[in-house]
Amino acid sequence: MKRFLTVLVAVLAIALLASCAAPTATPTPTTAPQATATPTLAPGKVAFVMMGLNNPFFVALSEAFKAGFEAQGWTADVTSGEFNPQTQIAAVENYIAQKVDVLFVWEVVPGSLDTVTQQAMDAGIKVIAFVQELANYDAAMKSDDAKVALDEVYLASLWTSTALKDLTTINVALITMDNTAVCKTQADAIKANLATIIPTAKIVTTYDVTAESVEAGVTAAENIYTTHPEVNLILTVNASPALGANNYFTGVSSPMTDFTKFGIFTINGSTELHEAIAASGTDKAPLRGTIVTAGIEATIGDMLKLANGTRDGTYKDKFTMYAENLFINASTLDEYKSTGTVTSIKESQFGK
Amino acid sequence: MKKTNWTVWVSNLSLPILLIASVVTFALLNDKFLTQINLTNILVQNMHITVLSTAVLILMIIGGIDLSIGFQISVVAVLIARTIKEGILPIWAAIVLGILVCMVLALFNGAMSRILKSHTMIVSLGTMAVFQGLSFLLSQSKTYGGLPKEYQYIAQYRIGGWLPTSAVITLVLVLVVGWFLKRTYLGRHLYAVGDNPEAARLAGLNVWRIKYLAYLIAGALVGVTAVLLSSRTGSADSGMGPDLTFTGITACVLAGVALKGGEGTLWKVVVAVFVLGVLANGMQLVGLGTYPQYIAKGAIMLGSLYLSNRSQKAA
Repeated sequence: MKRFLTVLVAVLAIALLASCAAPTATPTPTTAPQATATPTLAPGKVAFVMMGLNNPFFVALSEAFKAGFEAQGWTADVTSGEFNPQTQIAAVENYIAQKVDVLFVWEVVPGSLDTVTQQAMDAGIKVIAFVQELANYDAAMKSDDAKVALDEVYLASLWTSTALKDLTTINVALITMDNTAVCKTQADAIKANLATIIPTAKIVTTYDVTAESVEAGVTAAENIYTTHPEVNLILTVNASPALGANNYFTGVSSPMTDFTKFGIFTINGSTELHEAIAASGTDKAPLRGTIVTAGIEATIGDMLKLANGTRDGTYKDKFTMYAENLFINASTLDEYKSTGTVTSIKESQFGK
Repeated sequence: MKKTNWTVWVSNLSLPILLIASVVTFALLNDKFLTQINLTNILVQNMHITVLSTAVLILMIIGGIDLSIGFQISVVAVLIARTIKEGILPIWAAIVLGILVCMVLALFNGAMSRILKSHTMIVSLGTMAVFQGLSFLLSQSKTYGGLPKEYQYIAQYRIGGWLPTSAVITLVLVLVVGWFLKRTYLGRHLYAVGDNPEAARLAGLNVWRIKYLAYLIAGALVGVTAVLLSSRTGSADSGMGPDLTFTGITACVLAGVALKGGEGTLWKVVVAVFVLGVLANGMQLVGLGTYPQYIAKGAIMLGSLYLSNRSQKAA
């Protein structure tokens, strides 16, 4: 029995690892971006301590980071924080020991890296806070969470102003995730500004999910439709529940077949949303758009600027660079996929 | 004597009473609660959890506990989705492969427990990390959406317009497992092995063979859970399983399944799943958010433990 088990386990392990190595149908493009800043110092060592690598966006970002910096002559490395402060602390300590020149840090728990990032700075490393502000850093790259949420509503307003222009009231369901500070900020921003941006909109229900999962979105959509079948618009603060809601309404037992007066909008997400957004152009799916916080290539370009700028003194004293939001819907999807950015819909057209 | 009987009676029927009380309360508070569409929602939202909890029950009966089942679900769901999406296998073959792989993963836990002479909970902490890595390697951190309609039918189709196929599949599985545990020698051997492995060995039972059988059955059920879940969502990713581990264990603990092994009743586990499911659904419908749900679940769990202790003392 033992021998049988050993053989079985070995076969399984080999089969699984072999399938891991198999090429995928749609690999994520991670072309190296062009340098956007002229460095005055020779490229050095750069590292990125990420939150984790558990979703396609994080993986694509990490791959583009390495490719982008290495294309400019840097030695680049990435560590997954595994959503664990201890893992992140150990990673920063290792990079101090490796004497990297620039360290990007995306902190999991606010305050958890205060001591170790100070140690990094004391060791002469330029520390750049990524998304999450640190106590000690030389420069920061952030997105304005509330602004991202407002842009989601602006994107939705583009669709409601034509598709739902005949309605006197647009019934809105909001899928929140209030156990995450960023998501709560975004949900609060939507609640506070929805009526201003879409005057006919009225939030009829708010559904709070606890996990950023597709299944949570399916369940949310089921319950929302049960209590509020009159809903025309679902706004979510993260992509997986939005995809779940979309899958429910496009599933084989969907209670809805006509999506002309029904839309779902969200924030972030990656290639998994593209199929649904493309289908929404012909009303075959309700997931109509998302706001992406800068394209990955643009983000890497900004990271290069910051890495060079902090080393040569251009960026100092906690200089903060804000990321641009990109408006992705059926009309801009191809532009985004081919160029990595969107110029056909800009924030400025909403009078901002 | 009367007091003792009353305590045991209340303990045995506390979950059905709680379920009925919850249903009545939510029906009074929200007129949508008892509608056909919402009752169907409650069914479809809890079928994969019922199958998973059945697997957890089997493992707990033999005195084990598996913290890696969540990532087993992720591995198998992603494996099935990838093989279907990339046209490697037809749907039926992908499902069979997925369930077989899950059985092997579960058996691996059992074998490691024996080889390392450690409790399965400790072993599964290690294998959880292994399976987590495997699931992310397999999925390449991507979500595999847009699964074929034929695959979605497994969990999403409504027989007669209202009865979910997932409910029928779950009912059949629960009946078969219930029959196995109650009516077969092997089923009763699981309880014997869990209750006192040494006594079972002295009675002539091959303890590890019986445990391996339990792991294989549990693995098959976890594999079915992965199929039902990915069919329900029409997609698969590495993050879809882990949250379910705690839910499955919670349902079993709520049903009074002993952590030490040798005890556990399937119908109580099923009722416990529905108590939790009705609470989640009903509280959402009446406008109570996530945090009150946490408090309610915790309070029910503590109440259940209290009744279970009183029942044991009375017995």
